[in-house]
Amino acid sequence: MQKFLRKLAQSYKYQILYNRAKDLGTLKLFRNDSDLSNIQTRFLYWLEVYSSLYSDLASDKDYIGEEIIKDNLRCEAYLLLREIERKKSMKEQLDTSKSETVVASDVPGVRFRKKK
Amino acid sequence: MEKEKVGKQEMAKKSLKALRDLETTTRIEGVVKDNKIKFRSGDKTFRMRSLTLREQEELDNVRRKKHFEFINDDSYLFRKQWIEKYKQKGIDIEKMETNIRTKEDEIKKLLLRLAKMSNKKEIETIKKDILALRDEQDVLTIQKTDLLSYSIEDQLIITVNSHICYLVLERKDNGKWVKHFESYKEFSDSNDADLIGKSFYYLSFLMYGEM
Repeated sequence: MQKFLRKLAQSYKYQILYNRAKDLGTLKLFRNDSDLSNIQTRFLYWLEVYSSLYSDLASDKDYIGEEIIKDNLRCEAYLLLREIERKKSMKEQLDTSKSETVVASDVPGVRFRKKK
Repeated sequence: MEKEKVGKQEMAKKSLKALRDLETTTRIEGVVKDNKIKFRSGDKTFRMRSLTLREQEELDNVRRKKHFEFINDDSYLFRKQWIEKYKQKGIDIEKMETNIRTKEDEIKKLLLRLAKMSNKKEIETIKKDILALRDEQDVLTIQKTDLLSYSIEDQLIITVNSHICYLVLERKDNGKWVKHFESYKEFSDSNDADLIGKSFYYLSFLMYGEM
């Protein structure tokens, strides 16, 4: 089932519909507005995944290409790499923000920290 | 002549597979569009829909009563107890689970290598390795599932899913949707294998958590 769901989600038709539905509140992907079924939730997940992949492709990011998006296993590999790199980058940002420059003050007991 | 025949047969096979894939994709598309799933069995149209609040309460009662029944029956064991029993017989399910996790780690390492590859031959080789590991993982998972299928947890899931099918299965009758089975007994006594099979199949499209 997943193979066919992914095929639908990555199709030109559904990517256009999904992006327009996000921009315009009036365009509906499903007949129901609420109480999404399991398959509808999974479909939305894959729509978002492929939307982000096409976005990465348009931004000329490393390791992504049309042939990768169309190959489920290579797509999975890219998503895993992207996730790991994102976590790495977030950790580096967190470590950088922790290092502060302390500015000496005449007032005892108060430490002024320089904002980056 | 023989080569031509084989070539034509191969093309026919590929063409048939492509047609089947297209039919499945179209069917899935129909299922995705609505949270009520329609299908045909025999000459009738059926549908599966989500539970109403009253039906959810009925289901919670069924789940609670069945759980109580299983706990009071000494022939029913929890997964953990089954795992201990199997260990005494020389079947180590915990080792199976460790193997499954180890294979998952190996698959992740290969996926990370695959992500950065550009050489077509290397890509095809590593893809084959990943798929082979996934097959091995699937075999272990199926073995583990089969061994634990009689556990209270698994039996409870089967009972609840059967009850959901009975509750949400409706038949189109003169333009109106009516509940197909009058009672749970009628559902469980049914020998309409096609209808019951399709009901369980489409239930997994409709609901998550229980499946």
